[in-house]
Amino acid sequence: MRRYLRREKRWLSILKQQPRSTPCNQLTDLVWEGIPNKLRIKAWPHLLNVNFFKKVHGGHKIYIELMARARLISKHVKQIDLDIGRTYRHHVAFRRRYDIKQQSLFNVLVAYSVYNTEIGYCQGMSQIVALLLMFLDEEEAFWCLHTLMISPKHSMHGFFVSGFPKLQRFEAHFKALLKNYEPRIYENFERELIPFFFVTKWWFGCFLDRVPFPLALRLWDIFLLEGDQVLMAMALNIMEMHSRTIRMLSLEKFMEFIQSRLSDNFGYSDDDVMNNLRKILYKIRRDNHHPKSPILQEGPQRPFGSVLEHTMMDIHEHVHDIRMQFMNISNRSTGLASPKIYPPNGRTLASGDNPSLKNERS
Amino acid sequence: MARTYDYLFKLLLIGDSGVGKTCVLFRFSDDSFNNSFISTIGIDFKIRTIDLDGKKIKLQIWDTAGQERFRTITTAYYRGAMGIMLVYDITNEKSFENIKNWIRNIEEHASQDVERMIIGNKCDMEDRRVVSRDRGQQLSIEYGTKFMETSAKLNHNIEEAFYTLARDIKGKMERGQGQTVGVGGTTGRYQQDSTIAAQGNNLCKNRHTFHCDFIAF
Repeated sequence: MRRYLRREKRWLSILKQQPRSTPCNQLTDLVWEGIPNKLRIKAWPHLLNVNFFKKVHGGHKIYIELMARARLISKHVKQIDLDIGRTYRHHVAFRRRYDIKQQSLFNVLVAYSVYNTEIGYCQGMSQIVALLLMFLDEEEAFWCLHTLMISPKHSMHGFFVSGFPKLQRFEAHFKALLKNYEPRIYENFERELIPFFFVTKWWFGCFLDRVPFPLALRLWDIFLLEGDQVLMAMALNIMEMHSRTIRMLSLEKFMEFIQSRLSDNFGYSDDDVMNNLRKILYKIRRDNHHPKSPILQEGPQRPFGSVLEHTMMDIHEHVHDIRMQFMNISNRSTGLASPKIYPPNGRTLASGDNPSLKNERS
Repeated sequence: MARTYDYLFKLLLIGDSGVGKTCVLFRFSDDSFNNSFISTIGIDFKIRTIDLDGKKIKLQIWDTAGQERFRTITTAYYRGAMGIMLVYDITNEKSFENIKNWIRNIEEHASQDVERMIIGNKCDMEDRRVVSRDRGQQLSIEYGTKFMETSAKLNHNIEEAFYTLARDIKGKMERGQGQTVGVGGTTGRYQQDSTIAAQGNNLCKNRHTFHCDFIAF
């Protein structure tokens, strides 16, 4: 208990300071120990240096402005709504449909879909934002998401953008690492013709849903601190810690192991996993075997938030026009079911196909 | 290790996001249903062994993410599939219209002889139906595939759908096998060649050799 309080005190003093580009040893050690749950609200944005990205890319009011526009024009409304219905529904905050946290989740995702138009919305993002919203408020979660996408350390943009260039690069790199560090597993994969697609889910959500939730939180702490090298190191860590099992598994047994067994029970204590992860992360770093990043072509090419150049009045008019056209068409064809939408101030929007703004800059 | 099955069939589930592919699969493999399954990221995988006319058939079923962006990943797995289930949601017009696109995808990426089947899922939600049974039937006739309406929730027609698809593959395979005796297109070979999604050229090459045997008649 005393140790816990001492740790908390150290955290509080660190959080008062400005985030540094290279975290001090004290902070690094603290994060590896696991951030106390009630401090994640401050610690996560601190580790990401979110204020920096917020200042450079937007400013304070942007989020509200984006959200207002996005609700009217985002092309991704349907997919987002669909995925919110199946995101952490067992978690108390997301249990009830269209409840407050689900509304926040919707708002952040639609706002981001018009802000970073190259990504828009990609499946997997709803889990990330839901996780952020378990600790942060909407606006903070939005900027954390953006930072995760574009900061050189995390650059998740390359994972979610069409074609998944970073996934392909990382997968190839992981194969090479596995061959080097765990050749017997690599041989088993070749022998059993085990494809590497399992890394997609691992990396798109930094192991959410694939390891028990408390462990996933510890991994997120360290992912925010150290960046995407953690994704590679943890993939290798799973292989190493379960090497004796994995190198014997057939394709079917391996998939069951990855999809169910590890997420039910990782088989080691969280501290053991983190200690071994730290060793592997530093070993790969020492050997200079981490992927080189960031790759420029994988990053965003278009400016962010160009939708803000349109006033709300323009957008309303435009949406009205499209809605009229849409109604004419739908009167002629069969009625389309439109999903119930998160009402702003209790007003219900018939979302229909949520017509996208035609002159939205691409 | 002794094999516990006679045949191994690889099946693939495709269709728009949210039509219930994962639910259909879970109902079949685990006999369970959950309204709020998580969305599939990339590809997931389940197996179940069934008895068909005295043969043990292991079904290896690959479940894919429905969002269009993921097609770059998922189409790589079409090539090795022996049966593909195209799933739409009877309460979602768009998902039905998109079956055409999914078929086009199959024609582009899957083997020519792949067995296809169209599934109209969520038939328990009669009050929200927008795609009539007839339209589903009509589409399947147009493409020359089997058709079934299913409900993963009520466990309606799920077994039947997978059994039918498996029976069609088995039928096709045995017909093929009967005529390829002496050419080398044996069952064992078939199993070997189509066990896994096409990973690399080697496997593709093997598959093509098989097709030559197969298409020859």
